[in-house]
Amino acid sequence: MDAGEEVYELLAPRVFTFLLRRTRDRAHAQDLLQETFLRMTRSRNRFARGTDVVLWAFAIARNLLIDEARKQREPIDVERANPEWPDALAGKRRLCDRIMEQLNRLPDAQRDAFVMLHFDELSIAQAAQLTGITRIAMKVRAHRARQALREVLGDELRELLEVPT
Amino acid sequence: MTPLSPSEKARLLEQMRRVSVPPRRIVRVREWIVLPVGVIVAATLYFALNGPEHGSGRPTWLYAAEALTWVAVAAVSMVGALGHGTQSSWQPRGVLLAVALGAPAVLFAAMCALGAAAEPHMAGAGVDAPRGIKCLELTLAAAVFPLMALLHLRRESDPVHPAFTGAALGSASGASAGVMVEFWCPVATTAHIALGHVLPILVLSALGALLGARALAMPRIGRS
Repeated sequence: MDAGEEVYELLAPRVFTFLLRRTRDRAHAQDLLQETFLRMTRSRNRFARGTDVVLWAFAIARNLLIDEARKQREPIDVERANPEWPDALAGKRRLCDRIMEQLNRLPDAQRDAFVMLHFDELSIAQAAQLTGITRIAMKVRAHRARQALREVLGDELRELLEVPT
Repeated sequence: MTPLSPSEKARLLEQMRRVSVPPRRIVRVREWIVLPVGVIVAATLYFALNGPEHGSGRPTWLYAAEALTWVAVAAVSMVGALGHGTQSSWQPRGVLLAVALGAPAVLFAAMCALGAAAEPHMAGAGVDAPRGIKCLELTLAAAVFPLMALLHLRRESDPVHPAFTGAALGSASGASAGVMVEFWCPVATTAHIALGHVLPILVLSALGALLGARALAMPRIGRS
């Protein structure tokens, strides 16, 4: 197994889930996954050893999504018919549908913050670096998103809404 | 869930194997080589414009203090602009902003304080526009090479905030070029420092942000 394949095996499932959550289209997510890996390969000499490779891959994937959204003049489409739910919500289909409905009503920045922290399982520091904002700003966005969801969904979300560190 | 079918995966891995990029070590060496070359460019300008004579007349302590301040700020800002975060391959936005805006602010405050200490009666004197513009032009001329070279070497490398990285590189290039201009220029009034020495750093920072947003950003879909 060469280095490229090792990187693929390590990152592809997570990056693919990240992309699938945002595109809702398996074929589209696969195209973007391939593009992400090619970008990573082209920029591999820019990756700083000892830093978080998942974060780097997510940043490149997120960039692709943003560029594509700009090109299509549509907002970033996050988390509608989500095929990959966190374990805490497994089997709770109705609750999932209600969360989706509420998430789609949130401003893009809040929704993105919520999805990164609770579905992509990034820490606040990682999500902040990925979006290029401060940790405090990320906390505020996520807090507002949680608050909005809690107002509608109440205690059903207690487990999901625990703040990751 | 399997992201790609075996045949798609094999095709992707084959494409990845065919991508050729210079090793990381070579890239770093090229970046740091820009600095001595920039020093040579700045030194050439300094001697071509009769720097040793033009810059004389200041007390030795002031000369040394100004030079040390500029060298320290230039070094710190260059490390800040070229470095990376502890977790990520890019600098946090706060660090880049600190370099882009902090370097000119610190230099302005330090130069004003030193100027006022050396010549209290001159500190508040009005601006001598031609001299100020001369220093501004000199800083821009000496900083253009390192800024363009660093933007070129770092092209398509920033996945998060290329404009901020460009602004930090502009500021760091301006502070580095400003070392030579400080040796060359004996004027220490507040207005002259603002026009001739700090304004060009801000201009370079803005230029770096504009160019960085295009040059440092990772290629868009369909552009690669």
